[in-house]
Amino acid sequence: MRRLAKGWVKPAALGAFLLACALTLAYAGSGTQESSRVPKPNVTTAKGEKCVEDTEYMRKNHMKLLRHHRITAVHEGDNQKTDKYSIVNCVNCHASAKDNSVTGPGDFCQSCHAYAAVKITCFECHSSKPSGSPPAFHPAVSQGPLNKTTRATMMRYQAYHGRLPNLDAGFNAKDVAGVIR
Amino acid sequence: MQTVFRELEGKSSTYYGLLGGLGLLALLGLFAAYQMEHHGHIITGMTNQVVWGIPHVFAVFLIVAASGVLNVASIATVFGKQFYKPLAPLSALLAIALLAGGLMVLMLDLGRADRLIVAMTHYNFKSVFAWNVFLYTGFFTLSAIYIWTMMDRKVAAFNKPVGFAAFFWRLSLTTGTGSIFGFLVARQAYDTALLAPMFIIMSFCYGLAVYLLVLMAAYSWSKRPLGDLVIRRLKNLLGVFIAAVLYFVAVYHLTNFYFTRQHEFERFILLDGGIYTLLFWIGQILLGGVVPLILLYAPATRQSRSAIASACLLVVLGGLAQMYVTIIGGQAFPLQMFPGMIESSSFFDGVIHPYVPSLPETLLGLGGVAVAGAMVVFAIKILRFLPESLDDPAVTLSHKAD
Amino acid sequence: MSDFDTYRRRFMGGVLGVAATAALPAGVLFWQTAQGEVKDGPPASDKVRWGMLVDTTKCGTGCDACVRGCDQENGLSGDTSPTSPQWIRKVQVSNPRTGYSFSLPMMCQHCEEPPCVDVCPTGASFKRADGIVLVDRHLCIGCRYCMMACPYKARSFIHQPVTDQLAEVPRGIGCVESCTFCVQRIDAGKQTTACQDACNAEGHQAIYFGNLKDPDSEISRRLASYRSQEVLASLNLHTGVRYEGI
Repeated sequence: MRRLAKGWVKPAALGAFLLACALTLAYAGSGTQESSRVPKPNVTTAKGEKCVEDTEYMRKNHMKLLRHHRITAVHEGDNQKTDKYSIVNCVNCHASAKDNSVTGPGDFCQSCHAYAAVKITCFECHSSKPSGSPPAFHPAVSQGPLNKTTRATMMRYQAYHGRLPNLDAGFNAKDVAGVIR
Repeated sequence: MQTVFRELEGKSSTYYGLLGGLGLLALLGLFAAYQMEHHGHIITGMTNQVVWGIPHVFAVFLIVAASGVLNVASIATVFGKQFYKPLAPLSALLAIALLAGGLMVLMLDLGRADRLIVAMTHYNFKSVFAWNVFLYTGFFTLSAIYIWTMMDRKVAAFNKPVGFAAFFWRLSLTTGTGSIFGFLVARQAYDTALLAPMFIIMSFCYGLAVYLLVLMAAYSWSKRPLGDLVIRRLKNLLGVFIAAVLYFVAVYHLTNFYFTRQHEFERFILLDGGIYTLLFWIGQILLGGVVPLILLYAPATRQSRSAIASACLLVVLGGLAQMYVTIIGGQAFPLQMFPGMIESSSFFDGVIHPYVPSLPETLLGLGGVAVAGAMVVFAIKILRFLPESLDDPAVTLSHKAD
Repeated sequence: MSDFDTYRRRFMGGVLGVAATAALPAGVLFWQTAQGEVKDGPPASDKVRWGMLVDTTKCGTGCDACVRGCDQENGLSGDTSPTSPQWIRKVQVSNPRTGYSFSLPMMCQHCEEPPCVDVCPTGASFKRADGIVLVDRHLCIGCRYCMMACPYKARSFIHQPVTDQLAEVPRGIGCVESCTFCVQRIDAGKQTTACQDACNAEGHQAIYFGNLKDPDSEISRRLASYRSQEVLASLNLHTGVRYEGI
């Protein structure tokens, strides 16, 4: 102990350790390295020709846009049909054709976020499916005491959405499992 | 003669066993919290009718006791009773530990515990909970500085001002804790200004009971002398506080008897509330009040250490019962939206709301207690909180007669 | 003081220094995460105050069309277990001394002086400019204090993960929710709530909804002509929901 109290040994060791950490991080952060374990993000859209803003802008600022917008949307009101920054409209365009979601494996939001290892919590509350999607549980399952028959459920669905549900979509609750937990 | 403070030896198997046991209980509590966060509160017994359950019973008890346990130090610093000076560092340590345990339970029970950063950056200053963020943080800081002024001779001059600040701070804090309930106009159990001073008196009572228990345990297990003088003064003080709590409870219920619209609620708590009636009369009044008073003052038992320790333990249990009746009993009784009418609905209007504590939430509550305990057990080993000796000659010599 | 003590003191000092330096960028990062700047958007206006009038004389005892309508509009399951959310419920009230009984739908009363807003520590429970009391789920930490404070037991807590929410009505685990006066419809320009539409579809026409600040709206005209009351009027909360016949 007394020997270690000598002036320079400890700070030098600490400095060397920190330098090693910094170099490792810099190496890991250098963009040209590609890991084969994590698939490159898939940035396709299912609908529409282009986004409400251009891609580079969105890449850098989509989080800021969402953060700005969610405050005004909640506190001042938000017409989900016309507001171009509404998350509902993001999902409406970006939901994949395959599983009708933005958070399934390989889907729009999930793929970049998994690649960057940034957890999204938006879809714990927000639906990851476009407006008008049937709920994740099969409509034939009773939604409560009144919906006693499949036919009654289907009729309610049609009355509300204006069309019958697409039962071939093949979606299930696992759609949201990849990113949420 | 200066009191000599010394760290605990802390090498015995009892010590490590205690620390390990408390650590294990704390881990179980953390695991329970993880399960609650992952699966949601559906795994607990809390519902849309009884929204605050066992975790809150433990948390509020710990927070109330934390504020009160600092009383011992305040008596030394604020009220100038030099006799209590050697007892002060442990008091401040317990304050920090109990508050930490209570807050841990509260924060882990949140529906979105991951949003604590939001709670610390967005404030609605009309809410007692928002004040509490500052009151509790300030309490930690003041208690830590208080300990520093007690232990470091270079800053001992600040002991008195910091002691005063801590005293007034914790009065505000406990008023705030009582007002969490007192400000609620919605429920018949709350909606009274009496709850704030009642919580202050309860804090004195539970805090001193915990202090005495920890003191007796620490000295007995570390084989340090603890004289009768110290015990006698503390237990007499505890008796006064127990009587004061009983007074406040009596005033609360007697006033309710005067308001006809409160009669149904009083009937529920005092007569036909099942578990709540049981906990009130047997837990809170009998075991938490009357029996400890007898044990502390009756000639047959007042000299016996085991009787005094039992009295302290009963006060703690009675305090938990009091919290259960107040917090959960207050929610179990239905809201009266149409006074005098009979209500019924699919949302359990008009009926007593059932509540059964589940394992995860009980483990979480106990985990908080364990964390507080582990902090104390650890701290008294690494820093000098405990006087080497508190036997009668040592305490008599360390102060002038007061 | 021994060499060891000196070493210990310097070590502690060094550790604290490193910790403080590391805490700074972490703190900035966390602070940034918690913030968001406000941008101008289409605001809800305080020239409007949304309100509801329920004529309980037209409200059928066995009927719960309003509840079904709300469930469908907002994606609720309709379950009535103690942990299931219920934004609106039918309450049967009877006077044990006179024998008179009636029923009414009970939901968030959208008070002018909401107790839930007063007690919310983060300001998540708030009153919008147009009088609708909402929970900002981005700020809600799930402490349930608002549920304790509400005199109408209007709020529900979500006890488990939600995966089947509607796109228009985000709801998720760990937050508190209540009737929103169908704010997603109001902001899109509709002027009726789902419960009102369902009640009208059943033919009872017991629910009126509209702008209380507009003296020519149907609800204002009716409020001026017929006697109506707030539930727990003595609390002076000046609720946005009023009832006839209670």
